[in-house]
Amino acid sequence: MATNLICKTRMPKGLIEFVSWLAWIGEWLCIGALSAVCFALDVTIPDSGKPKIFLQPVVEFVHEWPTLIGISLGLAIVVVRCGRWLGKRPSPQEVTLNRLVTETLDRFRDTCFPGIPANEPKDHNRVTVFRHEKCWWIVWPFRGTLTPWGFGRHPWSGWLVMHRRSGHVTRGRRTTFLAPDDAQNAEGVVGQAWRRQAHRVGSGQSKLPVLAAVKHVGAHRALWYRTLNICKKPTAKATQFCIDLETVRNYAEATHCSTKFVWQRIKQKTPLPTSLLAVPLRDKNKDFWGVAVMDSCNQYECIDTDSREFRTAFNKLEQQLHSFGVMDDAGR
Amino acid sequence: MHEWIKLDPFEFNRQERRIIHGVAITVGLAPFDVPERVRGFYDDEIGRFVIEFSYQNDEGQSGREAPLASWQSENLTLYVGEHTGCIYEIHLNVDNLQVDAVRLNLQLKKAIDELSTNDRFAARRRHYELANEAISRHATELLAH
Repeated sequence: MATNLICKTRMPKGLIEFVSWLAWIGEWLCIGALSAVCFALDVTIPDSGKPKIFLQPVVEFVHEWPTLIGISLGLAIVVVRCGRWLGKRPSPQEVTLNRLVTETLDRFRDTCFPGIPANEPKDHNRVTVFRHEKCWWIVWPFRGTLTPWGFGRHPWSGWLVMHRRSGHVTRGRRTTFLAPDDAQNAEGVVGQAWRRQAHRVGSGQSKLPVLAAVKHVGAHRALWYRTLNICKKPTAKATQFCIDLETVRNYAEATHCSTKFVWQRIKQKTPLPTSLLAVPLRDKNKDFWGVAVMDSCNQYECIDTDSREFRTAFNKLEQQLHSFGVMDDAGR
Repeated sequence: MHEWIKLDPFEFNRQERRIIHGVAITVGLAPFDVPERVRGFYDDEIGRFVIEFSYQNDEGQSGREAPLASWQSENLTLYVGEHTGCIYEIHLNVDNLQVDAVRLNLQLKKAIDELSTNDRFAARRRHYELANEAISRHATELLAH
């Protein structure tokens, strides 16, 4: 599914299509120019005094700057192609398919979270489908300072990538979790479900700690608070910071994430769920394909996986995802 | 047609629950790994008593995967799914083995122990134990056929 960055701006539809058409023309002109350059390099410039050839000044210019012209045209093709990719709009078939899949996930969500009031925000109870990718370049949030994939990891480590989500909100950012071959290092509740079976974190009276009140603190301020605590002269904010550190540490341990991962989401003011249930999904060959995650930020948690309603709804969800072809483009 | 015995997933899929720092963490089998039904019958064509399991997505679009004979002894053969590792069929040589509930349980436990030592199926041990328990509970009904 192409990322429609330009479509998310307020550019009129007609202008996007015109720019896309212009980019297509430009791409073919660059390809034609590159071919002409190669032809010109093969032409021998006649000595002075002899009759000039057609467009001799152009040919002389090409002979003088072949590398610069070649690289410039190549870069121009890449830039134009990137622009066309970014501005690509989904086809009517893709729009219909997306709508059908979203409706399927919405129905499954209603089964998993019965009794939710009508005015409850949609993003408080979600169903997210993660797809396992053997190779993935764009990882969010970044795991390391030097590389986005973290120390000792790379695009081919194996990642669980957000593929589809219920509702119409919180669908822009593609969260990824590490799901490597050394499965003991799998990240998140979704990674734990990938390596074993149904995995639930936070239920009944023992939910995950609420992190809505935790505020992100910059590195310098954090160092100052730690210093105050070490010197046994803590202020109210330093004490609260220590409590928040412990809370975040407990949350990270329960959800099999790093504290850095959790702090990054707190910094972005992304709501963190208090209850999570992850169940693996299988493709048509019964091989593991991905994971379905049901997360909740309120008191309504997902029903038991052994209940008849869940099993029937989950079976129906898998069958419908198969029939829509969602699990066919596994990207392997 | 041989009758199926319906299994109650709540009865078999005992989830492991721990409380860590006040947070409940529950691990259980996925819905498609818990058998829904089991039946037993004597198959005249192969001359074996067959115990067969059915799972919830066997009748779906993908159908049931091809079972492979993954563990064999003189009197017992286990057929597990090629991709999932789930137990689909158990074939018993009742001509050689005087089958009763206790002997069946012992034979299956031995088969599960040995199958779980295989790297490919070690992670499925929990599922095999569940299948064994399902057979133990309904052995009298299964062997009555």
